[in-house]
Amino acid sequence: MISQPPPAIGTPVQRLVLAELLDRALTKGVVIRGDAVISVAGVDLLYLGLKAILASSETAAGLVEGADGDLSLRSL
Amino acid sequence: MIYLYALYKTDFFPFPQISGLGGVTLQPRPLGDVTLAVGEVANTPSHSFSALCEHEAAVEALAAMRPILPFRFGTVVADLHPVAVAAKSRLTAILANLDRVSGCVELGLSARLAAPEAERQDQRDGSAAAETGRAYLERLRREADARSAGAQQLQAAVAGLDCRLLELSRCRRRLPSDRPDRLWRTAYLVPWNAMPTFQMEVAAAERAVARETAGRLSLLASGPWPPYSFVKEDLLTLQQELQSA
Repeated sequence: MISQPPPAIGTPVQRLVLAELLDRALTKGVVIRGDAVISVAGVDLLYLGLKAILASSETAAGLVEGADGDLSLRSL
Repeated sequence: MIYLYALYKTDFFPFPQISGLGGVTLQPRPLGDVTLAVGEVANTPSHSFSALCEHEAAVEALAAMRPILPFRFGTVVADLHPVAVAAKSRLTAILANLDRVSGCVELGLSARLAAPEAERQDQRDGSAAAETGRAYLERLRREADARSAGAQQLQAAVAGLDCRLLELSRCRRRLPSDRPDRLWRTAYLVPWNAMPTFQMEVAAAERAVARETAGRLSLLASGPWPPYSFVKEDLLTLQQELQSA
């Protein structure tokens, strides 16, 4: 699943799959709340930033190239 | 600090060799009937794309081995004790949630509405930026009309598909659409052995929708994902433990 090389992210399908990853890993899953938890304050910024980047296929293509092959992009 | 990747039902299978954030090997931390998959991190994880990918890769590797409930990206605690107390007090709900996702993967399906050619041309040559207020409002109206027509086309195009996919799934969850051009977003919890049939249904529907709407609508599938969308809300909050501490 993970080992496949990242495709260029210029198409709507590829951007959608990346958006799906962001939506899942950053907004869903088990959540812990409380003062004793050291939250990652920048997660929301990462989410918003990457979502904004998705609007630009050219920028997103550069982002994926910079990810050095560890991007999980799948489509059925 | 301790980074949390996932939790799973405690078992006697060997814990796999998995690298997480920063290349640190994940470790199991049994809390009675459930076990946490954790990794030590020296600092708060960077809010970077590569960190997100490392998190996802580790969670997917865990999900390939056993039923898990993934933690949200960036979940770090200084001390596991409050988590252990919370896990113990919510054990029944956690085990029920694990049973629910057992043997399944999450598959996503979206419907996307393509922008009309004139709008795509505007975006390409930048004329949209220079439009007048009236032109702007008219464009908004055209976009709303197109979405409305697209929604009707979608309703006709996917009538029956959702029911067929639901029959192949343990359950499904409608997800809020995050963009105006994404008319429909659904996550399905699908048993592994139903995946080939699910894929065939989706592939056939993708072709049919593209043909019937002349490319105006497209169905887009993604996955398999760890079951992020099927974690019960507020499954493991620590508020009560912190108040009683």
